Amino acid sequence: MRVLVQKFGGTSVATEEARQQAASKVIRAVQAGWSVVVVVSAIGRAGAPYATDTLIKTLRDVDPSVPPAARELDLMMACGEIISTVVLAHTLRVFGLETIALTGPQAGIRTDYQFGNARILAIEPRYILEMLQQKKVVLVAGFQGGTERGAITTLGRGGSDTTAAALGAALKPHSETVEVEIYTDVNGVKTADPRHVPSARTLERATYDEVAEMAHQGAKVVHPRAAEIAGIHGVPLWVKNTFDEERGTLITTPPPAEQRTAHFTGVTHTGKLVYLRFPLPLESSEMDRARIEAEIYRLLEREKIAVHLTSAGNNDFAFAVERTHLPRLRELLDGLVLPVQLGVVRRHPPFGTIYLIGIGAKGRGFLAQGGLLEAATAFVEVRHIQAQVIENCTLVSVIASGLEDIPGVVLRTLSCLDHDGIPVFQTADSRHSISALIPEADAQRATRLLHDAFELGAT
Amino acid sequence: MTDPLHTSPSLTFEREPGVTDIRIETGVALVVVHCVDQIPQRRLQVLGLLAEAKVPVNQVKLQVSGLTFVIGENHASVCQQLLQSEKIDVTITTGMALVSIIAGAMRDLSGVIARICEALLETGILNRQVGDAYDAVLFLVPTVDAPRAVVALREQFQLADVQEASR
Repeated sequence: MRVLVQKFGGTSVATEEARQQAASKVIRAVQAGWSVVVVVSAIGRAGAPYATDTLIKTLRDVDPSVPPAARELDLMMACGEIISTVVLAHTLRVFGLETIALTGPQAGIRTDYQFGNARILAIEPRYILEMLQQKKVVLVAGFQGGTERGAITTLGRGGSDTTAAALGAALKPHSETVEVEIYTDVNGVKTADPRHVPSARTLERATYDEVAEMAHQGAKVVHPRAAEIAGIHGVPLWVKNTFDEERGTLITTPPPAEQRTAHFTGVTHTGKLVYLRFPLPLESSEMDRARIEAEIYRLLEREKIAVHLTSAGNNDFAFAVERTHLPRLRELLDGLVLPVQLGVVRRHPPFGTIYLIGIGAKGRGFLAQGGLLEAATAFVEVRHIQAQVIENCTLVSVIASGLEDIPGVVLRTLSCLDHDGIPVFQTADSRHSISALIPEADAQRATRLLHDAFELGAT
Repeated sequence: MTDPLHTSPSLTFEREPGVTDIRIETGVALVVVHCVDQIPQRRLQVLGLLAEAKVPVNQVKLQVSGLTFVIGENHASVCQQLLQSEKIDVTITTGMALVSIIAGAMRDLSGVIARICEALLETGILNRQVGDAYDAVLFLVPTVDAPRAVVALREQFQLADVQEASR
């Protein structure tokens, strides 16, 4: 049995015309001899009657002051995919195909109890296999699974892509061949967002790692979770356009080491960030820096604020957070008093050091605490750390394969941005990308410039 | 191809959330470049010299007074000579280890860095540089401290038996 899992996103099932286009892809696959499993997202986007956002709003509108229970919210959200699955199953039936529509749990998808962001624990594909053997097209509602005790859960962002990749992985041991096709409204994985970079081209082929990196760094075609699952299980993943006949992009394993060539894959940008830098007085030790850093990160952990773009020097440290966290971060840190080296036995003052933190321009917390600490200066040394705040930043990233074999990528990135007067506040590098933190206002220009500088455009 | 009536639901579909592994790379050096003026141009000059000499750099961090980065120890003397010949103020610390904490969806997780800093602080190990990607937090410690750091971190993230980690 050759199994093809085809996933259709919201725009691919939003209208009758779109559903007919989707149906034609399924019919063609059946005619080509594939046993077909179709994964379906909810119909349309926010505002459409059965779109996920609309369903959430329906529940929240009952009383905006009372948040819905996570379990019931998942039950509600799962309805969007169930409706679109049944509608597409019936559309295919009208075209003469034998179909069966299944919810996630009916398809054997078992998850943990993390409502709203459940993780797939196992898939029992027995029923799907039985239906495929009966020559039926099996339609599975994406974005959902079920717990051991029967509660419906949703898989979080990119849930339908995740369903498709996971079903491909589950069916692989029972099939001669398995492939997964993700249908969307673009022609495949692009070297950049074509809305901002007109010369962006479609990649013919990319590796799971490259696509996962691109997705993590802001590309929106395939969810990184789906690319990761496909990569773990070695399932070929295609990204194709529902509305045209282009070949699309094949996401697969890298070629053997001797055939690999280092190359650039794309440019992305993501995030609405704030960058904070905490300079310590020159007389502070590196251990003081480490203590203060740890204390601040601990406070942010308590508030569930994720930090990234971290860096540390002898006398400073810095990090970025999502912009939405800035007000809370100011409340937490402005005027924060951190005693360091207290308890050291000495005969004469100072008997220790106290650090007073300020965020940006001297705030009320900083001034108030500074006043209170004045009396203590006879006994302890009070040092000030006035954090610099750079608002409205974003991260632009160059994605590459075999970065370690290409010297000077950081240089090329920084030179390109510097040449056009775009300031870079910080950089980050990983195995597959070089990122630069820049002003958000320059994001599109920087993406275009880097796309040209790394010769990623159509040839 | 297996019999469909004997399906196995035991496949692991997704990576475990949170920290899953700790890796260590020894034989690296921390390079600290201090500039007094024209800092952006000086940074480009430094990176240009190293690119020309085909010295791979990573964990590049822009500092107020210059930049820091990590190179292989085998490139330390070349790097020192190159930069000093251009009268660039550089300090290279060899005998460092790059420790990577591997975690899924790092950008959505809070607390990983806090727990790393806490574990190192309790063990009295100074992290000389820190960086992160979507799937890892990396930090630099002296190689002599690296085994203790790994033990402390394995304990902190409950990854495996501490004795096994220290072997």
